[in-house]
Amino acid sequence: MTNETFTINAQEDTPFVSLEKKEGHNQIVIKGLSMPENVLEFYAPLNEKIFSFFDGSFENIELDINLEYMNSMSNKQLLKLLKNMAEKDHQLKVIWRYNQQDDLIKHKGAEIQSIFPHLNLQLQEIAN
Amino acid sequence: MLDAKFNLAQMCNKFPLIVFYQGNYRETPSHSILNIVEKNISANMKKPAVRSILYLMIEALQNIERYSAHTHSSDDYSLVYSDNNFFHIYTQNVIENVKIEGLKKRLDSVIDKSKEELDEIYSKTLSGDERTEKGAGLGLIDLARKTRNRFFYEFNTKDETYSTYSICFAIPLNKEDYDSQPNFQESKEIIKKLNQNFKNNLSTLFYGGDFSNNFVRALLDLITNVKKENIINHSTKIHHVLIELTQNIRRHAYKTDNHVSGQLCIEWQKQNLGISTYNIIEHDKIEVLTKKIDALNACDFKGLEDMSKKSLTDFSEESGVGLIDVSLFAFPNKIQYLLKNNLDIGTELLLKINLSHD
Repeated sequence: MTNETFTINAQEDTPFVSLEKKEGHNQIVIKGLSMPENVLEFYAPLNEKIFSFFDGSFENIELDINLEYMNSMSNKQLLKLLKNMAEKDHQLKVIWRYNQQDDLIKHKGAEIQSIFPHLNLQLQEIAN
Repeated sequence: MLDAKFNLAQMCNKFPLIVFYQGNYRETPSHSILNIVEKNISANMKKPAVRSILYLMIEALQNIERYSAHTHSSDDYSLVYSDNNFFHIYTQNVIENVKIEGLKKRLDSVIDKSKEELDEIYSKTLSGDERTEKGAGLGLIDLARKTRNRFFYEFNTKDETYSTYSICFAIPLNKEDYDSQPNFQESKEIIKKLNQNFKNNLSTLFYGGDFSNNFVRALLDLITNVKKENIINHSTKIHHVLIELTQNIRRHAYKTDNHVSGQLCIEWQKQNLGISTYNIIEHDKIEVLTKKIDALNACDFKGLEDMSKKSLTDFSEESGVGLIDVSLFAFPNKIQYLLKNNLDIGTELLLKINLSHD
């Protein structure tokens, strides 16, 4: 199996995204800022791309989310993505990173844990 | 109190752009204020006009930073606004009484001078030895030249040691305004209204204009770089509330040609941070909005958390959770609002929340 990657560069209001297929280890990284005025313009195609890139199977996949900020509409779209992915594969692993001083992102991660208690989501603090 | 804010909002609603910043100018807010104005006017004006306005703004704002006695932050402020004919720049700062005489001489040496006389004074000052302790006085002369001497100034005594010094310039925006006179009386009335609302604050930002993500970014730049003070731990909370409220205006307010205007006011007070917004909402949207706010205000903290989770996972609709987040962060303070159904196009809405510092 050859490695395959797909990336979306960060823009002023949308995050960096990378999708990577590797033997035994697949990864999605979402990193940066998410506050687009029209969230569907970014997240609807992203949702589709993730499903088509991984052929709808998320075995051995790790979703690494490291957002310095997200607006509430981005929050909702991310939840939708997680729900859709977790329905396909209950083994989905999510790492939710937050800055030491960032109560908001930490709180949002904890909120997702309580909404989806069976989701394997780990909160991980990043030191300053 | 909301009525006073509403009156101010209605008074300022006709201006395509208005920015008022009152506070400690040792924090050098000029760059951030310029950024907010530039993001707004660049969309509608040609580059030379934008450059000219920004250049004059820098001169005026840096005058506060350089020359204020910095004793009373509520008495140092700048107001810039466009009335479509002129771009007005009004600044005030506290000054030591002993400095008034020298300043008055410099002001009177340029006021009422013709363009040719001002050009001559400018050249002489540029090449001569006259220097103030912090500048050559060129800034003032240049302001008078570029505005074709459309300015006025005032001194008002505070006490034995200090007075306030105000100066207002008006830049014509169109060729047909070159021979007109600006409405300085209106400038004074706006200042009076702003003072009535904000004189007890530590600091205030009042903005009226376009609400795009460009504005939001410029606003966050001011918050991050200027207002660091003692609210670091809450900065992400404040950012989030500001982004949610301003993006809500962008999404739901009345639009003309995809242009959304409204107002935002941030008041730094001893115990609280007050944030208020004003915009017009189409009549058929207002009932849903006010019902939502009333429902949020009726909840305790657990109720708000439950509402948040429910709304986040209701994927059948695209309704936002922004106001729920605002309520959560403001809790136990409620969202205050005032409506006035005066217009054919929609209802005027003023929203206000207070965030506690602790």
